This record gives sequence, structure tokens and C-alpha cells, in this order.
Amino acid sequence: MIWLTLITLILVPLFVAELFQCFPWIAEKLLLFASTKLPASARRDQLAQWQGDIDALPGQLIKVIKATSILLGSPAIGRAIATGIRQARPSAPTTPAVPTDHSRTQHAIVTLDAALNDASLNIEVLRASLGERFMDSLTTIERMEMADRLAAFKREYLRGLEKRYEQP
Amino acid sequence: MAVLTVLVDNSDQDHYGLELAAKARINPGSVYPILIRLESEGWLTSAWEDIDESIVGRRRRKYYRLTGLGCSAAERELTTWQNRFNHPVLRPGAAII
Repeated sequence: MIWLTLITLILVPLFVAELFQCFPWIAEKLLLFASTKLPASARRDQLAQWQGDIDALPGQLIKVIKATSILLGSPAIGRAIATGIRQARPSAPTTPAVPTDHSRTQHAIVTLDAALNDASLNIEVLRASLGERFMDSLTTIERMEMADRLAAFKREYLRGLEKRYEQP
Repeated sequence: MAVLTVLVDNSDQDHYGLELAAKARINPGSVYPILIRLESEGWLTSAWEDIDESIVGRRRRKYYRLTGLGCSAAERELTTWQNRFNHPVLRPGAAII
């Protein structure tokens, strides 16, 4: 009974205090791990941005919670960065060059078209299946979201194919 | 849309990622892809905070601000969104996924 009291009164608070001291370190490690999900060229900048944002947070536990949220969102962040890199690269084979006089909407359509080409489809196929009016009713952001979803779908599809061919 | 609303409502201010996530009430992990995409579209401009990290005791943040193009485009998108909300049509996600 005495031992149990000692453990409760001394060791548990010590352990909790120690754990709280570790939280910033854990948050840092989570951010580092999250950065590995990003394209190599953007890792350093993005990690610095996360670290700057997390540093300013009050408390210790909240740092771990926010870092965990960032870690969970890191695949989407990586996709957004990769899309940006692909758009910025003029010689990229799957992304057509966007003339500077194009409107933002046209730019979004070209982006969507590039994603569809990645998925062995094209904008005309989508227009035919969903309808011209539906496509025209989308906002720029909705088109961008569609492009993201299709690119993600293609990745999943290719992953599934790879797995299938890996099996004996 | 929540992020755009916050950005438009405070278009004269600089914002950092976690602050925007808190104001827009979305997960921090979700706000960064949005910021990256908006910046790549030219709707946002970003700059690193100009501080002495050793004096302030924290690392510098990256701040975002709406550009002129972003401000007008975001207002247009929000208006479109508002009209759509009042007169709902088929959502794109439902048709594709």
C-alpha cells in the first residue's frame, strides 16, 4: 500500500512532467516525418513554415495535436505542392503550357485537362459524360478540386495495378 | 471557402497557416494545401516574418496576404458559391466519386 502511494504521489507526477517536457520534441519529430511526405524540393521551406507556426502556440500538448493534424494532412500538402511544381515546369510532358492571356478559368480547365490526361482521359471525355452545362457551372476552385481528385484516383488506380502485378 | 472568406474579410492583414486554420475552423493539415494552391494560382502572396529568432524566442512564420487578383477572384468565387448555396445544383464530388 505504501509503495502504491509512493508511486502515485511521486512517480506519476514525475512521469507526467517528463512527458510534457517531451511534447515539443515529439511535435518536432512529427513535423519532420510529415515533411518526408513532400516533394524533396519543397521540404525545407514547408518544414520551416510549420515549425514557425507551431513554435508560437502556447502550451505543449497543443503543439503535438497540431503537428499530428499536419502529419495527417501532409499527403494532401504534398499533392498540392507537386501540382504546383508540375504547373510551373514548362517542359513537363503531361502539363500543357498555359498562355499568359488565358483567364483563370481557362487555366483551371487546362490544369484539369492535364490531370485527366494523367488518368488516360481528357476534358472532352469528361464533358461528354458529365455534360457541357455541368462543366461550365463549376467554379474555378471546384475544377481544381476535381483535378486533384482525379489525380488522386489515378495514383490509387496505378497503385492497385502495381499490387496486382506484384502478386504471384 | 471558409479560408477564402477569412482572407477576404481581412484582406488588409497578413495571416499565417495555423491562424487561418483556427479562424476558418478547419484542421491545420487541411489549410496548407489550400494556401499552396491559392499561392500557385497567384491569389496569395507570401513572405517570411522579419524577426530575430534568438530575441523573440521562436522561429519565423510565413505570412500570406491576398493579391489584387486574388481579392477580386475570391470575391467572385464567394458570390458564385453564395448563389449556388441559395440555389443548390449537383455537386461535382457526387458525380465523380
